[in-house]
Amino acid sequence: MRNKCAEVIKKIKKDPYMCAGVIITVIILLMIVVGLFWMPYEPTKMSASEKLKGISFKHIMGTDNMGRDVFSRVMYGSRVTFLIALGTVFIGAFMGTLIGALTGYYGGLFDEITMRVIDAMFAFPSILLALVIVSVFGTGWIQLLFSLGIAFIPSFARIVRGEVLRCRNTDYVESAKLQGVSDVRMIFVHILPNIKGVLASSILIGFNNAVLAEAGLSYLGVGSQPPYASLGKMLSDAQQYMFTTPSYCLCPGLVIVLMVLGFSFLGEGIRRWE
Amino acid sequence: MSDDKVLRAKDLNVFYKNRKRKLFSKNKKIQILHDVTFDMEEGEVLAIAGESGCGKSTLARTIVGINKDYTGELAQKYDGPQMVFQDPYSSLNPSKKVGWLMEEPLKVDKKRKWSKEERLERVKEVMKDVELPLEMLDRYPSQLSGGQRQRVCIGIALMRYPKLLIADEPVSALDVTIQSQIMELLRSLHKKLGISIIFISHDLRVVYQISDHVMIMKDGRIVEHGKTDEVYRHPQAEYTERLLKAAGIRK
Repeated sequence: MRNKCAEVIKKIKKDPYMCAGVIITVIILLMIVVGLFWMPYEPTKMSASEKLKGISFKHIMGTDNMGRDVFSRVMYGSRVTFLIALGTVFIGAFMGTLIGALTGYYGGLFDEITMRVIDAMFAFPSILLALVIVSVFGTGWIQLLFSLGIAFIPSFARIVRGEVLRCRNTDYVESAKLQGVSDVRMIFVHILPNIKGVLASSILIGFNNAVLAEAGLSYLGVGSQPPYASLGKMLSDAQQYMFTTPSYCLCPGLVIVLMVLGFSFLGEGIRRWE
Repeated sequence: MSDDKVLRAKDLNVFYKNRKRKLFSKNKKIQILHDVTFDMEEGEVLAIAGESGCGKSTLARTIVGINKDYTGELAQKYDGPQMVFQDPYSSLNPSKKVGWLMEEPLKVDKKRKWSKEERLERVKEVMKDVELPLEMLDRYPSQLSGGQRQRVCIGIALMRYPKLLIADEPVSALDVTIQSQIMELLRSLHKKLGISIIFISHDLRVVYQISDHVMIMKDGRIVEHGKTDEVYRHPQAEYTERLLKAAGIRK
């Protein structure tokens, strides 16, 4: 076990992408986890005397227009963003894999119809699709989570379908069929392990897109509602003070960039793992 | 039907879907095999030879039940014939270890339930049959050589005690020394386990080494069928003669 760990660490060290990815992601995760137990200030506590302060020792990311500590709000906001992105990818990847695997494996009319529906979903930008869903079910972070999740299903379904299609006609699937392996077992036990690499890196890319989509939607005001923060919401609030207090909009922006960058590097590293 | 025939095919016509079909054209199917009629004794090694595209593999796939679109009669004494594929590199699932792959046929066996111990016992037995060391069980297919992989494939096919083994060009993807080892293995398995083997090959020299009967096919039809010795010595069909000449067996 210990040997294996050392081997993995050695492998990570060798690849600069993996290395950078792991470091950045660990920093972000650390911030989120620490934020669960301790934050320098209450993220919703306002203070009239400390509005729009720049970076200082007291407030390491400054304060916002209501005198709230930006660092605490970033800690809280990145937790919200992270969880929504995670949930989005989970829903998208789970449903997408299921749909893609079934359509790819069985083919035929069912496949044809499902793929046309997915094409139709592709025709809308995913943010627009999510906006439509949100406008039907109302705003709030749970609605946001589900609408983004649904919007992410098509891309996963596409990727998984293509991979399953590639595996379906191989000799090993045929020989497993000869042995009498059932369809469900064939898809989930024989075929899916062969596409886990592709799936893993598309999950990481999907996570990035989800972070950006969440930030974008919160920016438009459909995500988590005030006074609670998410990174996108903070960006939109900070917009008017961009020139007077640049730290207010730069800090949440930087955290979004780091989050996306970290996971992109991880994805790239995993793609080159073998 | 007499009992000593392992396999009996009568007027077998096999079809494939026509993939190049235009929207309104009438030919939905292409016929691959035409009126194939033959039978096979218990414990026989039947070789099927012929040029590429003559329907050898199609016949094999029909016998094991991958191709279901056929007319005519196909009667088998035992069910569960197994097949060894041509390319040992693509016929083993790359994400599974050899041990897992060998166990799989027993896990999905519908006829009886195998306990974990029984399965491992059987895996060990078969590993001995195909002359592989037990350490190999813990490896991935990518860590094995072509010959070792083909042994694993044969082992997987043997797991459930099949009475009929179909080997679809099992040696054509291997180099010559490994070829002869695999041939030797098939021959010894045939003697030891008393299974009937259908051996498909385009190489008439390889066919001669192993088979008691040989069936020459061309364009989906059987051109000649008989004892290997006789066919090689006195080929009846002109096509057989041509093949033998091409292989350098007859002048």
